[in-house]
Amino acid sequence: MLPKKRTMTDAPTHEVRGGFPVHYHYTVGIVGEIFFNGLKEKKLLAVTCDECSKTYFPPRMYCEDCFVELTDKEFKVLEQEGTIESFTKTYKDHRGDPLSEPYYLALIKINGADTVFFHKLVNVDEPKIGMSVKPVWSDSPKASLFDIIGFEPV
Amino acid sequence: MRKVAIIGVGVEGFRPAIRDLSYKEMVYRAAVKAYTNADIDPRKEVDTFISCEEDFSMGTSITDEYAPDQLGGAQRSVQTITGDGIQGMAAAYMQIATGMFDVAVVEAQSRISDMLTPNQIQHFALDPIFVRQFNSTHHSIAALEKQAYQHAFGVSDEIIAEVAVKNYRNAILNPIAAYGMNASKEDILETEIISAPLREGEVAEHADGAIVVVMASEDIIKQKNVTPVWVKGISYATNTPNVETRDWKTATYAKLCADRAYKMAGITDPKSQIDLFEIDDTYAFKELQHLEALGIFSFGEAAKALADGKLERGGDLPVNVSGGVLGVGNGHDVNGLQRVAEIVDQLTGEAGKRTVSGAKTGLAFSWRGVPTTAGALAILSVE
Repeated sequence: MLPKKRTMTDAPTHEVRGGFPVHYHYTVGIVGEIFFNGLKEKKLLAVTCDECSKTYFPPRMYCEDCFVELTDKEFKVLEQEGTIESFTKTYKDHRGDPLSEPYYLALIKINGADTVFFHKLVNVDEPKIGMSVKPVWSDSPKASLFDIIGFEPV
Repeated sequence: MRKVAIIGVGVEGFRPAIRDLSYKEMVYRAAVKAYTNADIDPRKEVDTFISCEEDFSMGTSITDEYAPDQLGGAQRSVQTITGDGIQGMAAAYMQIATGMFDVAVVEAQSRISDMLTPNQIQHFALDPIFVRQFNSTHHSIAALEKQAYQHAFGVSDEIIAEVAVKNYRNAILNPIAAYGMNASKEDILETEIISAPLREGEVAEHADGAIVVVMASEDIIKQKNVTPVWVKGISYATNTPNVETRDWKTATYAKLCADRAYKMAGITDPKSQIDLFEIDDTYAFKELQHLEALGIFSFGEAAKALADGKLERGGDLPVNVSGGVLGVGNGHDVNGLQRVAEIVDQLTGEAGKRTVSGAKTGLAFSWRGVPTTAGALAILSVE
């Protein structure tokens, strides 16, 4: 006997639902501690690889190009200004639902760094690639990424 | 090293949502087609099975444990690769070329419609310390890249929309494509902004489907009545996953893949030695960015080739005759095998009205999507 032929339009009559909550606490690491404690003091701390001269902001334990350790290097304080490398005005949240207030995200190259920093733009109407920006600090920094409220035009 | 070829492909789908078949039934259907095309009995003649899938996409922890039976692979050597189907093909290639096995099966699938929270799962792929804390859509990463690419090379939204127009139109003739349609540039540019400058119409919509590919050694092929499609070159590479250090303007991972695969396949002039291209276009701008990184055009020049019609089915360098990921539908880890399936159809005379006349060699390139900088590439030929 031939099995019953089903078509794509046949709606399933039974389905089983499932899922589970997953939660983590992510460890920021030895150099992450240095970076976040720097934010608490409203400082942008960076580290330079001696072999390739690349300056990492945020700083890293190791240079990913040379694979040498940077932990013993001097962490230097960068100036509080950088330029926009790219930006986007985002209209959707992480669920794909509309944001009540769309906002700008940007890649910012802090002066003296060779890497970019992912953060928000604030107090700006028409951002442009190459525009100079500076951090807007929270009044009560607590070693969080959001000690910087965002970057605004200089 | 022994020569390795694809001897059969089977596809089930693609559809925006497959609601009648369970995921195992869907893969089983694709497998039966592949084994019939390859003239192979999976219970007697296949040595190893490689399934490309991820726990979160499948909705089961240790999901590889559930991979064997729907492929005919119970009680056999089975491995799972959490990556693109072309990465699975690379593993199969090595296992056959070295003489470890004679026949290998590679499978990848998508059941995105079964996921009730697909956006959260993609958001969960973002770096938890420096990126994910901003509760924006994962598409904003692609938007930053699109903006940087456009600014660096002067590529307009209008020409990027034309990539989507071409690929949605190509998909009309592809029976496995979920999103074939005639859309105008204006239609694309009027779709909703997700994360400026990225619009809904230039982002590939999800689709369900499964693809099974049978690969074999030249020794086996001599005994079979099949048209072998030889794997001339195969590679995969990752740039760096970190937003701080990755290349935002160009697709370095594609260049790394191309350098290796061209060398392996003896390709010195891809434009003249390759007849058609299937290239990741999960976001429309990616087709142009990838073509440039693969050395087909210099930076910023892919847009001109598109405007001149060179990337059309009848053009000098046909790209995504299948409809691409935009037209076939985004199945994530199965996207690479979508590209491969089209090239196999084209080179074996099974492409019907989509046929690129005289095509002997094709290039399939896949990207693993946001937030990765990982790609995989296969050069396939009937010569």
